[in-house]
Amino acid sequence: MNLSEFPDGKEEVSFGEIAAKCGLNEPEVRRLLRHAMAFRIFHEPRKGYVAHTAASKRLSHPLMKAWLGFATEELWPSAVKTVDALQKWPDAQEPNQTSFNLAHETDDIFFTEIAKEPARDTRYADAMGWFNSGPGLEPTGLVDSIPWEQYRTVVDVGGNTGLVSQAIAKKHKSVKFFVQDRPEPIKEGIDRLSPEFEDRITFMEHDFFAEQPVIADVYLFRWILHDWSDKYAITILRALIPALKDGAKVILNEFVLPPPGGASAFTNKVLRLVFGTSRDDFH
Amino acid sequence: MSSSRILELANVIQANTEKIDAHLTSKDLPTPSFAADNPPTLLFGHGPEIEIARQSIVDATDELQALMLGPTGVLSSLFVCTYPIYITRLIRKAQLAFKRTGNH
Repeated sequence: MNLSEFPDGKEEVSFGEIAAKCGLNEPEVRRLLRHAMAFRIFHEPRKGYVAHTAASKRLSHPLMKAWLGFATEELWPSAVKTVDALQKWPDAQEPNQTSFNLAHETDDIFFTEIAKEPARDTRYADAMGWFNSGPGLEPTGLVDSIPWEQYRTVVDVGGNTGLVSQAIAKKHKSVKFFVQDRPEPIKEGIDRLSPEFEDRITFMEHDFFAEQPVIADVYLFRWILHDWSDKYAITILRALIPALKDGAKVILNEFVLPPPGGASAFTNKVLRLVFGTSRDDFH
Repeated sequence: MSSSRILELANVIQANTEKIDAHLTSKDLPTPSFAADNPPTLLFGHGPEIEIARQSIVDATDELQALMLGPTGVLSSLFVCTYPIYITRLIRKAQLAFKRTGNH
C-alpha cells in the first residue's frame, strides 16, 4: 500500500488496514506511524485511525517522492559512512573514494552506479528536479541576472533533463541551447521536451571529460563542478579548450557558502549539510 | 487580539521565557548562552514551575518552527537534523585518537 494515497478517497484508515495492505504486523505499523506523527507527518484524529497532515499529504507529490527515495536510499546510507570514508581515504581526490562507495559496496562512481538501474537514474533526475523547484533553489537568478539575449548559442554542460535550459529559453526567445549529459537523462529530456522548445533546445549525449564538440557563445555549468574534486574539475574545464572561440564565456553557477555567522541559524544548518564542499570563503 | 495558533505559541514562548529569565536573575545566575563557560545544567533543579516553563518553550518553539517551515520544510528538516549524526561520530573518533596519542 502506498501510504501517501489512501484508498477510495478515504479520509482516515485504521492501523490494522494499513498493516494488512503492507503485509506487516499492526503493532509495528502503529509504532512507526506514531513516530512519524511525532514529526507531524500523519496524525491520529481518533484512536487507531490515521489521517493526513499537510506534511504527509506532501509526500504524494511525484517529485517529492523521488527526492525522498533518493535521500533515504542513496544519500542516507552514504551519510553514515562519512567517517569511515575519511579514515580510509584521508586525501581523497578520486570520485570513487567516497562514503557512497562504501555504503553501496561499489568501485564505480555514483553516476555510473545509479545508471545500472534505469529506475534509480530516473529517480535521481526527478529528485534534482525537485531540488531545482525548492524555494530559493529555482534558477530565477540565473535566468534574470545574465544578459542571455547577447548570446546565440549556449551549451548546458551536464544539463540533466534540460529544465534549466528551458527556464532560460522560456524568457529569452532568441537563444539556442545544447543540453549535454549522460545517455539516460538525455533520453528522458527528449521524451519530456515540450514542443514549444523543440527548435531551440537540442539534446546530445556527451561526457564532459571528453573534448567539447560544440562551438558556442556560452558554456553553462550549473551545479556540476561541486560534484568533483579540484583535480577533476580542472580536467572538465580543460576539455572545453579546443571549442573555445574568442570571447566565449564559461558560466559557473555554484553555491558560495556565507562565512560562519553570515547565514541565519537554520539556513546555515541546511547549507553546511548539503553544500559543505562548495566554495567556503572562510577557509 | 487574534486567536491564531501561531500568536498563541508566540505568547507561550514570551511569557515562559520572561518567567525563566526573572527566576535566573533573582538567583543571580547567568542566562543561557552557547559560551563554553555557561553552566551545563543551568536550567535544571529549579522546581516544577520553572521546569514546566522550560518544557513549554521547547514544545512551543518546536511547533512554531514546524509551522514556519511548512509541510515541505518539515520533511526536509528530518534530513537536516539526522544526517549530521556523522558529526558526533567524527568527534568520538577524534577523542579516541587523541587518547591514543596521549594528547587529550
